[in-house]
Amino acid sequence: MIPCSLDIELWFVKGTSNLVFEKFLEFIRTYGGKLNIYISCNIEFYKYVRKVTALDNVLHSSIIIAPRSAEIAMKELMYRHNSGGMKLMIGEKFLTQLPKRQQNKIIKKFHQRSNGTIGSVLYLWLANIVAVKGDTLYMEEPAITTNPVITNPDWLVLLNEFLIHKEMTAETAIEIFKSQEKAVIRRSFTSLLRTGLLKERNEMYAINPYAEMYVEEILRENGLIS
Amino acid sequence: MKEMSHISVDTILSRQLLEDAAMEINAIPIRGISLGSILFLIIGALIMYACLYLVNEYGIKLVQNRRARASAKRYFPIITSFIWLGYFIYMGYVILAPYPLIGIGVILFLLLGFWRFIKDFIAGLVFRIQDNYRVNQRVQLKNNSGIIVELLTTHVELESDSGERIFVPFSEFFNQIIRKPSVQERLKQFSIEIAVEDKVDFGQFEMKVLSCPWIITEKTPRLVQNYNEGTIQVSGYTIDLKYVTQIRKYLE
Repeated sequence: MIPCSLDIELWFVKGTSNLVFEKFLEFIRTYGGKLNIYISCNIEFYKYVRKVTALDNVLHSSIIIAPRSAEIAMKELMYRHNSGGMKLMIGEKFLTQLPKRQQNKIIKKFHQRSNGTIGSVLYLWLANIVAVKGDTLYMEEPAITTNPVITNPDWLVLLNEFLIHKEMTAETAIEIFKSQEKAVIRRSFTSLLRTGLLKERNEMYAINPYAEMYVEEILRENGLIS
Repeated sequence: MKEMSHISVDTILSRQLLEDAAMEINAIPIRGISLGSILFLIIGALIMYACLYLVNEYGIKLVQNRRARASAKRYFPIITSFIWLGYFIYMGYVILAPYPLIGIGVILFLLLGFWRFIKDFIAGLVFRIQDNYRVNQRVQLKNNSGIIVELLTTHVELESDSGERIFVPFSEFFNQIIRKPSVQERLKQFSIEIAVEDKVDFGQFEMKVLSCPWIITEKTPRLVQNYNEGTIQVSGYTIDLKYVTQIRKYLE
């Protein structure tokens, strides 16, 4: 029996008692010897939670999934694309008509823009589809983009919390910030939603997956993550 | 035979053209600098400015291919600068050709008068070709620091942390040591003393510090307990010093 728990950051709220998360750790501590329990989380959450909980003590081993090499990212991308069975046209030529060197050059661009994060590569792939006609996808090469400058520190702090918690409601954010300035938090949520950096579903907010790699880069540039 | 006649006709034509050209060259000093030619230069400059402006503002946007558009945005200012440089050289030639001495005098006068502008213009051209600095990059000069907002014809537009717009001439960039600040420099260091009870749980307090959203946990904050004064000194990094009050309120 192999119980799995994906995205354990959803069970954790910064600055609260986190009873559920503690129970979860207790469960792993008790049954970890008998069962193989697999858990997954965001690296930023892991870096944070290992400082404030005993997560590291209950784990037998942790595997940090490093960014994929261009070759592997390329393979994964093509497997995913080929599973759909659609033809791909880049510029004015079908991908298969392009010489191998040219194909690799284009796919390497996807790898470079996404820093090798496979999820980002896939989203970048989707974002560059410009049209679908019949069984053909029309695509553009990923453009070089400059990250928007976010000068509002409130937004940066909030985005950092989103990166750690993955998704939050406005109430959760108010709890994290223990703030009386609820209006400020709600306003920041609305502004970030308007910029397209956040997406909302049933009052649950999360970083827009298409913008995630840019958000990470902005936070890295500002020193909030490393 | 036909071919031969063609050749002979061509030769005659080219000779004629050469003679015409020679006559035109000889005619230039006779023509001199008239008000019309000056007006022609000015109108030409205005039309060229309008055309370049339209291409820059609207023409580039018409390019459908994103990659080509990005390249056009990057290279068009360089091409524009070269066009203007060429135009100035042509203008110099037109003024210089009929009356060389007066022409040199006028050019020297213009050079002295607009030296600062010309210096910045050429420095800007070199700056763009080198492509070491881009928009949205943070730079620190001797007296100013900020983010590059736009590369203008003769100036770099910076936005300081306080939102001020600073215009730095390109020549200043070349004459100064420019630093690209590291991440650590962007974060603000703070140190505050928090009054605590005698029997405070230090571990709990540490958790509280790490939970504070305004403290950068990436750089573990330092806590020092002062038993005599009943305080704990918290030193760490935050993104903006305006959050120190909130941090204090959060920890108290």
